[in-house]
Amino acid sequence: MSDQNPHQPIEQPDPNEFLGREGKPTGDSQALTPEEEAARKSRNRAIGWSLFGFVVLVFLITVARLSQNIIAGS
Amino acid sequence: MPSDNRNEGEAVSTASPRDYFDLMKPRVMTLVIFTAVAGLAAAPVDMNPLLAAIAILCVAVGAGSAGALNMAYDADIDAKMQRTRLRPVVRGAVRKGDAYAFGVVGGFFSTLTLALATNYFAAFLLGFSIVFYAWFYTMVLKRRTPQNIVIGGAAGAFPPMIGWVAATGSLSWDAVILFMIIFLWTPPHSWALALYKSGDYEAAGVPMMPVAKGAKSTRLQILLYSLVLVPFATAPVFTGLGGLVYAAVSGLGGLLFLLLAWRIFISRAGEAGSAEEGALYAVRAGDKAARDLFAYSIGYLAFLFAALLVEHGFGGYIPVPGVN
Repeated sequence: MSDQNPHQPIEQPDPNEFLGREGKPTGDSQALTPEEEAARKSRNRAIGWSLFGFVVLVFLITVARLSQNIIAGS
Repeated sequence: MPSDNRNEGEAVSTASPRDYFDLMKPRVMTLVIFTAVAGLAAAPVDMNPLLAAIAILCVAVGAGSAGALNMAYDADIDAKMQRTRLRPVVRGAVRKGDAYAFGVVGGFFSTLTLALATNYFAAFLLGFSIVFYAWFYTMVLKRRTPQNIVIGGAAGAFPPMIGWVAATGSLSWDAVILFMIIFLWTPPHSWALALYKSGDYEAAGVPMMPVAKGAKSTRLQILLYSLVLVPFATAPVFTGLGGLVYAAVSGLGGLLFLLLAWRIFISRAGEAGSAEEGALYAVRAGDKAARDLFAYSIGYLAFLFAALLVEHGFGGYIPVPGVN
């Protein structure tokens, strides 16, 4: 016979338990200072440009290597 | 508690892209770029200019990544040294973990891109030099032995060799000679700095030669290494890699290098208590000699590789009479 009572209320999470790492919403938020906001924006912009630059580099490398091989083949 | 990977009470980072750029040791990177360009230009193969530029960018980013890993690991000793106490990790501008991540990502992508743009051998050398500097020099040698920069200096000697291999796909004796010139140059260059910054290294507990073996022994070793370096730096003249311009620069520049090394040897550089008594602005008597060699050594190496660049990159090569 099962020990579980089907009418037992669902256990509520401990309000002090940190759930953020499990990807569950915590309801917490933190207001950033203007300096933090600006720094985060400039870092994001730099990361974005770096990724874009990397994509362009790979494209340019592909074109250059392809043309090298075409010239070598002919 | 913040809902990301920060600890409780830890503020959101205010690091700017400039702080991350500073992690890459831009001044060291300049010399790395320059020697890599010279190695690439001196190689006897014409490389696609676009791929050559990308290869140099990869070497620069790879060297910068190694620098970032070095700054992350050495934050504790950097904080104790005047010269390094304003580095981004020490200032708290960049978190240690972020500096590690930046170094690993930069190292990975620079190596990968170099493999795509040139060849696997060049990429292997770049990856090896990053690991050599960030792990073997920084984490193993630096705090353990006064020979740290002798062995670890090899990491800084790789760029011209990587440039050469990126262009040709293989090694040659000329590439090894370029490697050896920087390898032999590193000890007198670094020890000259260590002589007049020995207090810094002592405070941080880093067993640089002046701290571990004393100033007198260091001055002798600077002279001995210079006596090996200067003749060796003329080797490209005899293999035909260097022409008349290189011969003139390595000959005259080498003589001045030896003169400054001798000046250090007979000075009292790095000796505590050697301040001129009674002088209003007393300075340690030998410090100037050490500072002069340190500053000149950078110019000496730059001029050697500039000569190769002029000869092979700008058509300035005039064969030395009597040399094939």
